[in-house]
Amino acid sequence: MKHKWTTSLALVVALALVGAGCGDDDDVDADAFGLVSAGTLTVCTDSPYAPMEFEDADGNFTGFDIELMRAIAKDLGLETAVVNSGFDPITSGLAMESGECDIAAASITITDEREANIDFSDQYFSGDQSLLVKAAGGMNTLASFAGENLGVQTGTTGEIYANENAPDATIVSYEGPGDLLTALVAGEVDGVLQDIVVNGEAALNDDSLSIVETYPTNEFYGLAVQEDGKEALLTAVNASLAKVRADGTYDDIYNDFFK
Amino acid sequence: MTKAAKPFWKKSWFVPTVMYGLLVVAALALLFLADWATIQRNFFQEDIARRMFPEVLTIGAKNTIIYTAVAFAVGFVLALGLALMKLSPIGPYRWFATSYIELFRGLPALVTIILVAFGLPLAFGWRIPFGTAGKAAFGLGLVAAAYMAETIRAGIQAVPRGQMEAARSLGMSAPTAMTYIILPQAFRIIIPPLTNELVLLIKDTSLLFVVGTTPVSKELTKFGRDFMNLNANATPLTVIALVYLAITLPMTSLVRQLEKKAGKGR
Repeated sequence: MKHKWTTSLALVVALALVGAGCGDDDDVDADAFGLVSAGTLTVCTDSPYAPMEFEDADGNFTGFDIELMRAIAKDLGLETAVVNSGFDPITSGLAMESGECDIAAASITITDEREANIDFSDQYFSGDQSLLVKAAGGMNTLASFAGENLGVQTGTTGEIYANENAPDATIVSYEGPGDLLTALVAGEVDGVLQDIVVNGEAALNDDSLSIVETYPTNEFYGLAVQEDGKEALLTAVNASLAKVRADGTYDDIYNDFFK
Repeated sequence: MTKAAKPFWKKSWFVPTVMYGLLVVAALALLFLADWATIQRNFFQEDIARRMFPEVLTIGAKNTIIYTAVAFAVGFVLALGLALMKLSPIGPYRWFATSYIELFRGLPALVTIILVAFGLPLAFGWRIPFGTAGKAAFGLGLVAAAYMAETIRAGIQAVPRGQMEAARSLGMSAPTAMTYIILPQAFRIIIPPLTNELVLLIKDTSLLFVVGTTPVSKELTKFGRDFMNLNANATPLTVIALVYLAITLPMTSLVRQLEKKAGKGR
């Protein structure tokens, strides 16, 4: 009996080889931008990061970044889809490399380190840093944090700034601004160093919190695409960005979220 | 009248052929469909892996082991108490143990950790001491206790009733009999499921990132993820996966030895 099924085994192998050889490469995209989903600009973000990106009452993504991307996509004649990928996969480029999205809009500060992994559009927003504390506390300067807990968000320029400028503080990294604020209110950290737009929103919503220092970093937010292969998209996005800034769309969106 | 030939699918060689065929097809599919160059580039870059040492061991693995140990210790002591309470003749003890177990078994560990790390200070103004290790002991320990309590209870109940009766008839008090006769036998029975708990706990320590991390308090997963994002490459995941196995495999084989030894007495 044995020889019989070894023969059939060989037959199966042969068939499988033929089958495997017939595998087709269909990753050629007709679209000039090489979009992951034709006709749609798929945008990675890291929500919630109010007021830049968050979910509205109906569960749809909105915020300054998101609405700006919608305006740009509209200008390019594309639909918009938003993917909440988290921040680290964006700055490392993994979210775009793995085909999760075409472009990321997540209040990403343009830095040289990040340029190594991703390509940035023209800048579109100021990325200054700030220090948020409980108003009742006595921690009013970054220098007063020596030996104390200072909260930052993992992988952000706030974390980098804290490491460089508050080396004596115990820097505790959290996953998102929500965790950071809870940790601040709970007393796990005595201050939060992060982008001024987000700290400003927190101080606005909670009277017990206040911004005691701001740090002009002369850094700006940019939109991010993967390092290679999306040059056409980036050029088109930059053109659209200039257009929405010139025609007042940018200001309208700004007023929706900051006035 | 001649006997009709058996259809081929009833022949004795048919089923084994299909079984082997499936195996071969699966292996070939893996071989041909996987993009080996990409896999190599993303998961096996030697220089990135090299740069993770020795911190992946001196920080990542060390913290994972510490957090697991404290959580297991706290969990085990609590679990023993809960198991005895659940078997208690006194109603309120049983009710408390049952509610505790149902509550903490029903909540995701992540939620419990967040509640313990942020909820306790918010509610009582009391922060858990000893940093992340303290939060591991409380957050994960509370969860582990609920699971282990049920395991220990099952172990105690698996000891034949006659053991307790015999001990009592020799003049031992119920607590003495429980301590010296029943529990030692119960623990021998529950070594395998407790090992399971320990291995699950090792992996649950990866949830501790939510309580915030400092450069020296990262456990393995957080360490690997940060390294991955720093380098825009998934090689660190491969490395930490191997380190996890380097922790769990010797441990489980040690427990197997222990089990064999304990089994000899039976």
